[in-house]
Amino acid sequence: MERFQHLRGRTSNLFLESLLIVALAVVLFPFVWIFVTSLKPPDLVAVPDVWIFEISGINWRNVLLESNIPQNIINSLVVGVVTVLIALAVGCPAAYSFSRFKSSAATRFSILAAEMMPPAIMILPIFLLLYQLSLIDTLWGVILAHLTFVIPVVTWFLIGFFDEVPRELEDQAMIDGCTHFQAFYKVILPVVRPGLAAAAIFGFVLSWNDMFYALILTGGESKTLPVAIAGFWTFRGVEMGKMAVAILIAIVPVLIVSFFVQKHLVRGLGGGAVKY
Amino acid sequence: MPKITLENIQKKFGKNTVLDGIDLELGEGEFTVLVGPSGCGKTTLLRLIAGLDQVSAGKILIGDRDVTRLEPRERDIAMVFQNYALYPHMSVYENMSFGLKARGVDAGEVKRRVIQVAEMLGIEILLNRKPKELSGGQQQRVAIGRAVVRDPSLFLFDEPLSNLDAKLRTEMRTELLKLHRELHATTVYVTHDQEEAMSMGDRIVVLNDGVIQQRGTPRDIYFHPVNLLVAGFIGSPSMNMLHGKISGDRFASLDGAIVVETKNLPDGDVILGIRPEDIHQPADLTAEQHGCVLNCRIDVIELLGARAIITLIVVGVELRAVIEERYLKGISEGSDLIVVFDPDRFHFFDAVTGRRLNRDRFDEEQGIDG
Amino acid sequence: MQKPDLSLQYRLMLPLAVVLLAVMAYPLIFSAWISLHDYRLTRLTDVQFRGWQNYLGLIENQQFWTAITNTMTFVVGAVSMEFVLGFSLALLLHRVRRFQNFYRAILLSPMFITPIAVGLMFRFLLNIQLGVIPHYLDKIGIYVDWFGIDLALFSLMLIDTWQWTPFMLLMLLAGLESLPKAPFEAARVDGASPWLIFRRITLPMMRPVILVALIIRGLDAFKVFEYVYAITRGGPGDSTETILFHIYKVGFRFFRMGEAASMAYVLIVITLILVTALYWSMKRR
Repeated sequence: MERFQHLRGRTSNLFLESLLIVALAVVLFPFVWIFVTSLKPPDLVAVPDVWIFEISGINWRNVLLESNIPQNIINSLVVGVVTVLIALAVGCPAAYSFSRFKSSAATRFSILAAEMMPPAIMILPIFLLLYQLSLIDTLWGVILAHLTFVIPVVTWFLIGFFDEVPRELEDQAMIDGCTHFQAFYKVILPVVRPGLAAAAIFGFVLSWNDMFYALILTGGESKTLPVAIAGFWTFRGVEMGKMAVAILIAIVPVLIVSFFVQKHLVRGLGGGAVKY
Repeated sequence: MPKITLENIQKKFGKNTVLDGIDLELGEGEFTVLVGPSGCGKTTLLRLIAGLDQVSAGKILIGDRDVTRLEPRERDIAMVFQNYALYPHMSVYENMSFGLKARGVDAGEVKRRVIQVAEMLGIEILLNRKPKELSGGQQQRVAIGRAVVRDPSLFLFDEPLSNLDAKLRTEMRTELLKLHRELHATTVYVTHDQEEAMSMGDRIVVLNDGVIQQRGTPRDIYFHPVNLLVAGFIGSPSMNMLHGKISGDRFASLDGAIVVETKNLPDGDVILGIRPEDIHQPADLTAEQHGCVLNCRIDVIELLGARAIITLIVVGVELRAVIEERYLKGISEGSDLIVVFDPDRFHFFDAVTGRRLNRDRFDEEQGIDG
Repeated sequence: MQKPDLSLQYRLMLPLAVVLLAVMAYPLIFSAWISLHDYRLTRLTDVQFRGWQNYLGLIENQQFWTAITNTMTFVVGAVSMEFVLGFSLALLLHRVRRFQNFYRAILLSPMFITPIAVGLMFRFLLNIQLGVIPHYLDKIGIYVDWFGIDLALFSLMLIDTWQWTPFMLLMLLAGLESLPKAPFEAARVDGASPWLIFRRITLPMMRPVILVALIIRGLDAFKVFEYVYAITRGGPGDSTETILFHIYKVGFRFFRMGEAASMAYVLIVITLILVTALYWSMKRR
């Protein structure tokens, strides 16, 4: 029996890996399907059982050249970038302050509570406010709305990163001739640069993915990409093909960038509760 | 190099008094070691001198300059931290030049000084590396180099050697001392390691519970501890403590095992302290030094190399003694051993207050209160 | 240890405080005000004070309770499936060392993409006439209408499970990897069986992480909207009408903002209870 011990270990590992591969298939199948769909000619899109066909670029051409999708992409980009920049500008100093000066657990937690606020409570007044300011159907409205959840997320995220920088670093900087504020931006900020990048990417992804606020606050020219995607609602082949393309455009970049922040995510999402 | 004066320093965190009435003068160019068990307030005191924390009351003077309310950057000090606190995103060169640049020293001068100090410490080939590419010992050197290059009026060290392995630690100890001889910079060095304190300090300050227990040269501290606390903390293995009574110029331990004559000591409950190094073989001492002869049973022998620690049992009391290896011949655990004491090396402490009772010529000179 | 440099502490917080006050506090107060009025977008010049009427009206409001029940069912169902699957996958990944990073990267990917895309993909994948999945199920003799009245809510849970099991996996795997090794080695030396080790060591030590993951995911599942919007729009009947979708309908389809605001405030109370629970479970660590 002894001699086969290692074999048994190997077979059980193979079994476990085959379970993982099933999970992998379940995860990947929709992606593969949407990719295949985006390459189908319109008359085949609505037929479920066709896997071999002549690849057609017509859906991609339709979307990229003859639809509003490029505009929607730009809108989403602008909203995401501006939101994240504002969130970093206000969240970064505050996160440092939370991390370095003994703030009560409850104050820290209010940030998380803000993140958890249901969008339903925010949307009504934000809508009415923007309505009165005639900012409905502009990107400013969406940016304002996205700030309500991106700022808390980014701040919460950064607190974790600042917590991990040893205090002696700014002590040293202050002895070396910096004021506390100089120590913060000359020494601590560069040290947490990876954290800043991760927080920025994560905040951007959240903004890029939101549909609820954008659905209510934008229209026509100002629609963001998810809202535009939501517009592909019919089962007509032409529309479905375009939808497939639009979905791919919306998810592929996010999948790529998120790959780089995965390992930082736990800290960001779980706060101090889970260390990675 | 100026002297440092601390006047009645107090530090409270909330309701917690961490330091209470510290008065201390550190002489020019002196290497002062602050030593004490963890939590005694030594690191806090260092941070107060650095200006990283603010005193609750009291005054700090560097030379004649009152720096009590100054920011760390205005105090002209350099500090080496336990974890080195190297800026991880900067190269060794940038780390060392950061402080000079922040003070507006011109680029050529910065370069000259960094290279000079790097050569002195043997780290010139590391100048372009990042801290994470360095070994612990190298990081340590860079941290010291970063302090030296600033040419400050005061050096502060916060347990700088405690993250190194034992061998490197002894090496760096010697090297730091050489550096000090060269620079003659006023230095305050914090450690919890009494051996480090003894071997490095020109002067030692023993702290406990936020109060200075004793200050003096390593010799003073070792041979004339002012109370039980210092006596127990300094020296390894630590001092043997025997409870007993003095009446009519005679000390008798509680179990009656040890009885010695005393001079000029008041009657009452006392504790007799005997350093393990002061327990001898009869052949080591002249007959008139044999103040007390004891027949013991050997319980445990721990061989250290040239010397051994032996645990002796006399009437239920344990005594630890350090003897030379050559005496181990012919004895073993369980066998009997005769040891002698030199009564001049006895330390008597008041059993209630813990204060040292026997006053010798030294104590009179130092003006140490009994 | 740092003596609080109060002025710097507050100067650094000021921008956040100002912006959050503007984008959050103001809306929160304004909604509270709206929720006490008969506030209709169609009659902005004639806003009547109604006191607690909107809230009292909710008690009688059958649709509101249906939406709450649907949402609760959805949250409990989806989060439990995600937990069981996520924990199993985390344990699997924890064991399998080979290609671990590769597996993890792929398995986590669904949680990063926009939920509306997920909703639409599954709307077509599961469609009874032209979906790929029903097509093949039909071939092996299984005929299921995924979005029929009986299954629609469950299908939405499945979709949620597809997208958010990765979150559970991420949290629980991190939790597993941060556990100290020594207790496990000690238990193995003591001869404990794998099942016993799991029950008596892994589970108790993972408890805090599990709690945090469950509550965060639960809070998030409460906000389900995109799948409903993309697929069922609340139907068939009101079988998939969730609370956020209901508020959206009342507020932005029927323009009865006062009523919608009062529902949103009820939602806030539920959220706050859960957040407080989260706070305590995190603080105990």
